[in-house]
Amino acid sequence: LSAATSDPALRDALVAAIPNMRAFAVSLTGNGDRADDLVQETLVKAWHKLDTFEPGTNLKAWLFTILRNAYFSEFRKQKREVPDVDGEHSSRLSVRAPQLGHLDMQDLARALEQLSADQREALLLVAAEGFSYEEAAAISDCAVGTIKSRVNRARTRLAELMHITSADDLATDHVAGDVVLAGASAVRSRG
Amino acid sequence: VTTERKKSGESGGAQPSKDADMSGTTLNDVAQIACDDPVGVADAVGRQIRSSYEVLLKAPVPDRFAKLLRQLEASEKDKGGEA
Repeated sequence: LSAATSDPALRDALVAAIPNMRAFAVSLTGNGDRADDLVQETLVKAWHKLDTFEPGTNLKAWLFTILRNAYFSEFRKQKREVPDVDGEHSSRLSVRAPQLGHLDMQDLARALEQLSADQREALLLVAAEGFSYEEAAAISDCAVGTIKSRVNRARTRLAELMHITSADDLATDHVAGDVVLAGASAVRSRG
Repeated sequence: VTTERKKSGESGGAQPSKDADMSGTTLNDVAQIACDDPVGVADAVGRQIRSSYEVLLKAPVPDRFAKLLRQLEASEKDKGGEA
């Protein structure tokens, strides 16, 4: 019997991680349908190799590793004709300025779209999911320093996009309207 | 508070060694990172990301996933438990 059928707690933990996997996947892909396909693929893969999961270690990190590997293998296939050098991607994309202080889901997706996939992943793992740099590095299979610099660059880029130049800009949560994606004026719209 | 070291815009992603392996982080590196973010910009961005991400986490999970897990369990029982 697989680990999941013999261990209901493991199955429950799998189910409990689904909202996180979906949030991560939709932020990574910027597309809800693709995100759910990715989560489904992850669940199937995870299910079939649950016996390789070491009990006591971080199940969510294990699942995220499977998910991001599935995403990047597909991503690289699709991007073969259009190489996505760090940051270069951004200049081709347009972004609409949100009207609210808080970015809503679509605004976040739009802002994240401005980042390279590597930076987006690193930022989501660390800033959104709260993984440590070490955990994020293990998930992404790269050096801790690489994760740190990706997160750093992603934050800088997003701060530019959101016109955050000082913490005072966001000292309180009710600065609605002050947070405007600079990309709207800086970047010409597609087509 | 004025931000004398406003580093946005022009610099873009062109700073050298930013993506280099920094696992051997030195005191100089730490000082550089501190200078890069003199006013808590990273915190501000982090808060924005987290509050938006919270919304995503609360989204209801579609039935397809419960169905999927039931199918996975059922197919396993059919096979008599041999993977």
